[in-house]
Order: sequence, then C-alpha cells, then structure tokens
Amino acid sequence: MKKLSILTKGIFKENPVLVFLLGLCPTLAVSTQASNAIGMGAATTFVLLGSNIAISLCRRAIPDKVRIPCYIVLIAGFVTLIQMIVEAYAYPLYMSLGIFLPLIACNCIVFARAEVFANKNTVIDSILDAVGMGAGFTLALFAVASLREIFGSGTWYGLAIPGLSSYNVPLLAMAPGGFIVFAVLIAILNKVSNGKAVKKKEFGCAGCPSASVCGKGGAR
Amino acid sequence: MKKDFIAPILALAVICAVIAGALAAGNAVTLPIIQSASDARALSAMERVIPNADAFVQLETDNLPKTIAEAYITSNNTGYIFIVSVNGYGGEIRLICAIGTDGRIIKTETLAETETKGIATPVFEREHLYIGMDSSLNGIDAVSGATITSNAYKNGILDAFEAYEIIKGAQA
Repeated sequence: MKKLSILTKGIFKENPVLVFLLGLCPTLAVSTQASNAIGMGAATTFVLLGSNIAISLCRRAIPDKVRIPCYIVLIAGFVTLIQMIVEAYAYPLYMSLGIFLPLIACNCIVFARAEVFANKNTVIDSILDAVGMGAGFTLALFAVASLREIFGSGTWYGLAIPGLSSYNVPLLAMAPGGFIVFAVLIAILNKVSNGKAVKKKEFGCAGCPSASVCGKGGAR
Repeated sequence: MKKDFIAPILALAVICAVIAGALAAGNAVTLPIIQSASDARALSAMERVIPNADAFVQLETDNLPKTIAEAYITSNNTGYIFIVSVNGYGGEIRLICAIGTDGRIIKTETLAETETKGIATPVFEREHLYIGMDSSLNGIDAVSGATITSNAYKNGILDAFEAYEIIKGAQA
C-alpha cells in the first residue's frame, strides 16, 4: 500500500508541476504541441529514473559534503546520454525540443527528487518515485500542451481539428498563452482538491530537505 | 581529519570517471548513426535544389568567403551548390544555395534557423523569389520588421555568388 502511494503521489497529490510548481521552464516553453510534451516528458522521466536509481544506489558511498556536485555530475551524465539517443533515433523531436533537451540537466524536478527522496530511500522506492513523478510531469505537460495546441493552433498531435482551425487563438500558442493555460490548470486543481493538494506543514522549515544541514529548523 | 578530505575527493573522482566512461560508450554507439543521418539530410537537401544531378563533388573552400561552409559542383556540370552559414538576429542561419552555370539561382533553401517566429518567418517563406535571380538580386527588399534577418539572408546569397565567381575564375 505504501509502495502504491509512492507511485501515485507524483501524479496528483504532489504533482511536481501543478502543485510544487517545479520545472516551469520546459513546461511553459515546449508545451506548444502535444507531441513535444510527450517527448519532453519521456526524456525527463528517463533522466529522473536514471538519476534516482544511481543516487539511491550510491547514497551511502557519497559523502554529504560533496553530494551536490556528485548529483550534478550524475544528472548531467544521464541528460547527455538521452540527448545523444534522441538525436540519433528521434531527430524531429531533437529539433523541436532544441535547447530544452540539454536543459533537463538543470530541471529542478530531477534535482528535487534526488535531494528529497532518492538519497534517503531504497532503490525500489526511488524507481517508483521516479516513475510517478515522471508521469505527473508528463501528464501536466500534456494537459497544458493539448489545450494550447487545440485552441492556439486548431490542431492536436499535428492533426487539424475541423472547425477549430479557422477560429484559433494565436495568443495561446505564444509565450503568454503558456502562463494563462498553466494558471487555469492550477486553479482547477486547487478548486478540485479544495487547496489541500499539499499539506501546509510540508512547506515549513522543518519539512525542508536541508533542515538537518542548515540547523535553523527550530529557530523561529 | 585526513579522511574528511580524501573520501569526498575520491567519491567525486570515481563518479566522474564512471559517467565519462558511460558517455564515451554512448557516444561510440550513437555518433555513427547521427553522422550518417546528417549526411543523408545534407544529400537530400542537395537533391532537392538540383534534382537532375547525378553526383556532387565537394570543392575546396579555403579561398572562398568565410561564410561558405561547404561548396559542391555537380558531376554533370549543371551547377554549383553552396552551403552558407551567416549570423542572423537570433543566431546562425544555415542555407543552401544552388547556382546554375549561367550565373542564375536554381533554388535556395533554409536548412536551419533560430530567428524570431512570426516576425522573421516571411523571410524564409519567400525563397521562391530568388529562383532565376542573378547576382544583382534585383527586386528583393528587406521584410519590414525583420531587416537584420533579411539582410543576413541576402548577404549569404551574395557570398554564394562571390564564391561562384571565384570558382568560375579558377576553372577558366
């Protein structure tokens, strides 16, 4: 039961994009087409999976002092690997993701899961966490991208939607549209969950992953 | 005390070495695929601009304008192909320009660009205007609002003509 909740919490309750508001740069930038969203989501999930497995395997071997550089090297390594794979086997996707593919290296979702989850949990739990968070990221991206593509360009997954293509709203396909659609989705999620998607205490000082290092957890 | 210094350095060094090894292996697998795919794309672009050529022979580019990345001549002498790399407003514009033996453009095409979407897009949508032009490029004005992109494109084509003249001169 606990394992199942690790898997599912990333999809709705702790959705990295719509609840924690992490990884917004790729979310807003590549969400103009549903196919981009799936590609970006898959690439990020691969990196998450790789970094979570590697970090939870090495969590006892990595000294606390150098854990951040170690995580960065591991994550950047996986990102470079996926970049080479995508360029070799999915060139159109490589072109449409552009700079945002290598930028997964500084995606805070990957980093947050490494710091919050993978470095204190077993490999199996970390895999479940990565799959859940990856799915949550992909779903959120897919939702934003679908809305923007359908109403902004009148197409979905590159296929023209009859009737809509002559009444599209170009604003939605441009940068401001990303913010608007994103905000609307957050509002809907908050309405549905009554604003209780995340318990408040998890945002507090004690819930911070660096609390043990910082030592100011009980200062206030 | 000593252990405090050695362990972190060792851990980081080992991780870096392992990741570098993994990347080298990944690169060895994907590089030939990436290379052959990019060669195939280049060839198909050349076949699009000069469809009836049988083979393309690469020429030396040492004495040509700096913007000419690659130069080719078709083996049945129908024309010359120049791959031009110029700087636009948002970075490199890579275009392919085919010039016939009569000194007129056969066709131009954009291979890669990162210009502002929407504003600079018309520059790349009017490439048909260049077909049949000679080196004076009469009648091609800058797209309003996208002067830098327009000029970069036009200068790239002019460089191709300059290269064409140099190659022609060398052959004569």
